[in-house]
Amino acid sequence: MSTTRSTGAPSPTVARRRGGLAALALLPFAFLVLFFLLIPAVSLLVGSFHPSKASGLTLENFGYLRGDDKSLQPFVNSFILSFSSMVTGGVLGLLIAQALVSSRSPRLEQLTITFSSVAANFAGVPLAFAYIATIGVSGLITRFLVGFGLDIYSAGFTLYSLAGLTLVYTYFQLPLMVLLMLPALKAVRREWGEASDNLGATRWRYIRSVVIPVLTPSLIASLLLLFANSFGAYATAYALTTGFVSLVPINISNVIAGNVFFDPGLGDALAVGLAVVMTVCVGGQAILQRRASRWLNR
Amino acid sequence: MARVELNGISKRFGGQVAVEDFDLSIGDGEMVTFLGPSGCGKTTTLRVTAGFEFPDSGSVVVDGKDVTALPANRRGMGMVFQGYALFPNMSAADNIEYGLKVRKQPADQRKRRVAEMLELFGLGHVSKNFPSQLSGGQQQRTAFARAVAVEPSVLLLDEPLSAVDAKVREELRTEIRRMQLRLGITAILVTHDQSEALSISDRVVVMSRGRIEEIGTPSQIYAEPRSEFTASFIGAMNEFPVRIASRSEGMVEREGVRFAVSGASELADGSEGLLLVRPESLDPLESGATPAGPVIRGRVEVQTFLGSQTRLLVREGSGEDATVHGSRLVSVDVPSANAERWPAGTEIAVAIPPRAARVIAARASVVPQAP
Amino acid sequence: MRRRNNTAWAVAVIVFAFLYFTVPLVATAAFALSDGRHFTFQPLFDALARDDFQSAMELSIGIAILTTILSIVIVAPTSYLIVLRFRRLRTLVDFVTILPFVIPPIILTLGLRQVYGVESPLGINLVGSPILLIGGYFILSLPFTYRAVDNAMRAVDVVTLTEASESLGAGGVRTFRALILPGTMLGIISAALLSFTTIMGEFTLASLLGYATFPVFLNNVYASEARQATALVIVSFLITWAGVLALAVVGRRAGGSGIAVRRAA
Repeated sequence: MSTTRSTGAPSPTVARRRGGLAALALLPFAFLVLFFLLIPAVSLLVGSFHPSKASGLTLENFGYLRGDDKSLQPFVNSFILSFSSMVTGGVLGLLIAQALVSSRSPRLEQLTITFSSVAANFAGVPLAFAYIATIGVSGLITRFLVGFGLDIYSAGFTLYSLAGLTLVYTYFQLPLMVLLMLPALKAVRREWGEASDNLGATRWRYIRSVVIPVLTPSLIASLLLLFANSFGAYATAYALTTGFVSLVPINISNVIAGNVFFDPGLGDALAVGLAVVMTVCVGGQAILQRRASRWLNR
Repeated sequence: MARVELNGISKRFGGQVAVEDFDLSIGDGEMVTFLGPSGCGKTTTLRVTAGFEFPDSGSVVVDGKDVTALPANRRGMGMVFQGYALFPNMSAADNIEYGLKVRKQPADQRKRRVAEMLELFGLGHVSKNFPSQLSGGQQQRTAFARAVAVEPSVLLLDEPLSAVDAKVREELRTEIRRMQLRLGITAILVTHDQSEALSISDRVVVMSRGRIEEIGTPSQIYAEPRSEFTASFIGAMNEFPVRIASRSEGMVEREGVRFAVSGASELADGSEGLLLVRPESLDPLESGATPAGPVIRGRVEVQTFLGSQTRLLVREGSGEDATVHGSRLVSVDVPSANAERWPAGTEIAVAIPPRAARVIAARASVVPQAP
Repeated sequence: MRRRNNTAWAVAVIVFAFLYFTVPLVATAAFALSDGRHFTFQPLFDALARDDFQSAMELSIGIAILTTILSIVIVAPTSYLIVLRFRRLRTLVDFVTILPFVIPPIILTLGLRQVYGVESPLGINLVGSPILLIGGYFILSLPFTYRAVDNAMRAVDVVTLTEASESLGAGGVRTFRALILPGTMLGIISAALLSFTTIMGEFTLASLLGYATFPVFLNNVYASEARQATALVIVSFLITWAGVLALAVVGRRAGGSGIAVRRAA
C-alpha cells in the first residue's frame, strides 16, 4: 500500500481543497436521496402519529396494533397471501433448482436461469392480464378443464381472491426462488456426500446431519425475501382485483387516491407497518445470508 | 489393516477409457502411491477402490473378500479427499466424531476416541473451530483424523496435499507417513507430485493413459526406470539415442564409442535404444583428460542454482555447432562450490559413467497404442 | 440404476417448470391473437396504432431514458468517490441504497404524494411534473444501479488504478474519464439496462401520481378493449425478455452469470 507521488505531490492544503471539491461531487446524490427518499419517509413516520382532527401526537392511527378488525384485516390478508405464495413458490422453486443441480447440465441451467429471470421480472399489470387469459372465467385452462367436466368457477375457485392471487404471485415467486437457491444448492459439494458415505453413513443420515443444516440459513433467507416480495407488491393485485381485495398496499393506494373511507393518518400508519414487515424480512435475510456464506463460500 | 487386491479393473466414462486392466496387490500395512499426470486414471482407480465408482470389469478384494458390489458406506475404508470435504457445519471435533456416531458407538467411548485423535494430530486447541476457521494444515489433519478415527481397513488419500502451500506440504507429508507407519494401516495415496510419491511410499505405481507404466520401490523407479514415460516423468533425466551393439555382451554404441550398460541385454542387436542418465550422475572432466568411456562435449549455456547443487545446461556440439538450433541440451549437476569453474559460455566435456546409466528401447517401440 | 431414476425425476420437474412458464404466455397469445375463430394479428396492430398507446409509450421511454441518464451521471461518480475517498461514508451509502427494498413503491408513492402533492408542506407542488416521476424512479432503481456500478468499481480495483494514474501525473477528472469509466463500462451498462427495464414496467408510482405511462395505459385500456390490452401484454413481455437477454449478454462479458433479480412490482 505505498504510493509514489515524488514529483508534484499535492501540498496538504491542495489535498484538502481537492477533498472539498470531491465532497461537492457527492451533493447531487445526497440531494436526490434527501428529497425523494428521506423526507417522504420521515413525513410518513411523523404523519402516522398525527391525530386526524387535532394537533399533537397519538397512537390512534395504529388501530391494527390494538387488534381493531377494520385496520387489521389488510395485514391478515397480506400475511396469508405472502405466506401461501412463499410456500408454493418456495417449495416448487426449490424442487426445480434441485432438479437443475441433479441434471448437471450447464446448458439447461443457463437456459432455466434466463427463463427464471424473465418470469421473476414479469409481474404487475401484464402478468394479471396473462392470468385472466389463462385461468380467468373464460381462460384457456378454465375452458380446457370444463371440457373434462371440471368447472373450477362453479366449484368455488375465482382468480380474484386470495387463492387466485396466490396462484398469480407464484408465477414470479417460483423463479425468484430458483434464482436465489441455485447458488446455495450448487455450493453443496458432492465430496461431502462421498465423505459421509465413506464414513459408513446412510444417505438420509447425510441429508439430516449435513445438507439440511448447511442449507437452512440460505433457505430461510430466500423465503423471507419471497415473503417481502409479495407483501409489498401492488400492481399485480390491483390490476387483477381493481382494489377489491383488502391488502396493505391496496389500502394505502386507496388513501392516495383520496378515498373518503381512509384518512391520511391511517395510510401513514399502514405504510409504517408495511415498512416494519419489510425491514424484518430484508434485515433477517441479510443476517442469515451472511451466516450462510460463512459455510458455503469457499 | 488389510490386504487389498485390485484385479483387472477397467472403467470407461462414455466411451473414454479411464482405467484399463489395472492389476495390483497391496500388502498389509503397505503404503502404495499411484503417480501420474492428470487424466492418467489414478483417481478413478482410487474411487473404484473406495466404492464411489463401479468398475466395468474386474474386482476389488479386501482380505480375501470380494467387495466390488458393496456400496461405499459398507466398505469400512477411510478416505482423505483432495479438498478435504470437511462438513462445514461441524467443528473439527464433530467432524472426527461423525463416523463414530454413524457406527453407533457409545458416547463416552466416542469422546475418548475423539480426544485421542485430537491429541494425536495436535488439534486440541482448535477442536471447537469450524473448518472455515482452520488453517490449511489443520484442515488436512482434521480430514486425516476423521478418516482414521473409525479404524478403517484401508486408508485412501486423494491428492491430500494439493491444497496446502509448498512449505506446509513437506512437513505434512512426513507426518502422513509417520502416522501411517504408527497406525500400521494399509494406505493408497494418489498424487501427481513425484517428490511426494518418492518420499513417503513403500511402492510407487506409475500410471499413464489409464494403464500401469510400472510398479517399483521409490529407489527402483528413480534409479532404474524401465519406460521412457517413467524416466521423463520422474525427476530430470537426460536421454541419448544409442544403438544396441551386442546383446550378449550388454554393449551399446554411441558416436563410435562402445560400452557396457545395464538394460542392453534385454534389447535386440542393432535396435535403437535410449540411454538414460540423471544430471547428478554426469561427471564433468578436467580439461585435457581423455577417458575411455562415452563423453559429451559442448558449451555451458546457463547455470541454475539449486542449493547444494548447481545445474549446468550444456548445448551439445563444439564451436559453431554449439549454437545450431536443434542440438541437444544436456543437464549436468555439479556441486555448487565448484560451479564457478564453468561459467556460461565455457566449453565443457562431461563423462557418462556407464554404471549410472541405463538403456531402454527407443520411443516408437515403448509407447502403447492409443486406444 | 439409481442415477437413471434421479434423472427421470429431474426431467419431470423441468418439464413442469417449462409448462408452468409457457402456458400463461400461450393463453395470452391465444386470447389476444384470435377473433374467436381465426388467428389474426389485428388486435395487436389496432393497439399499436392507437394515439394514446403511442403517447404512453413515448412518455415511458422518455422518462426511462432521462432517469437512466440521470442515474448513471450521479451514481457512477458517487460510487467512485465513496470507494476512493470517503470510505467512512460507505456503510451509510450502502444502507441508503438498500432502503428502497424496505420502502416498496407503494410507500414511496404515498410519501411523495404527501410531500409534493397539492397540500405540500414544503410548498412544492410537483404533481404532473416529470421531475416527480424521475426523482421517484431514481430512488426505485437505486438498489440495482448502485450495486451494479459499485461491484464494477470494486472488481477493477479503482483505488490502485487511481494511484497508478496519479503517480503518472493525471488529475482526478482525467483519471475518472480515461480509466475508471472505460474500466467499469460493463457494470455501468448493466446499471443502465436495469434502470431502463425497471422503469418501463413500473406501474405503482405512475398510476397513483397520475402519469399515463405504458403500464398505466395498458391497465386503463383493458376495461374497454381487453383483446387489444392482452395483445400489448405480449409487447410488454418482449420488453422484459429483451432486457433480461441484454443483461445476460453484458453480464457474460463481464464474467458473471449476468442475471440480476429485480423486485416484482
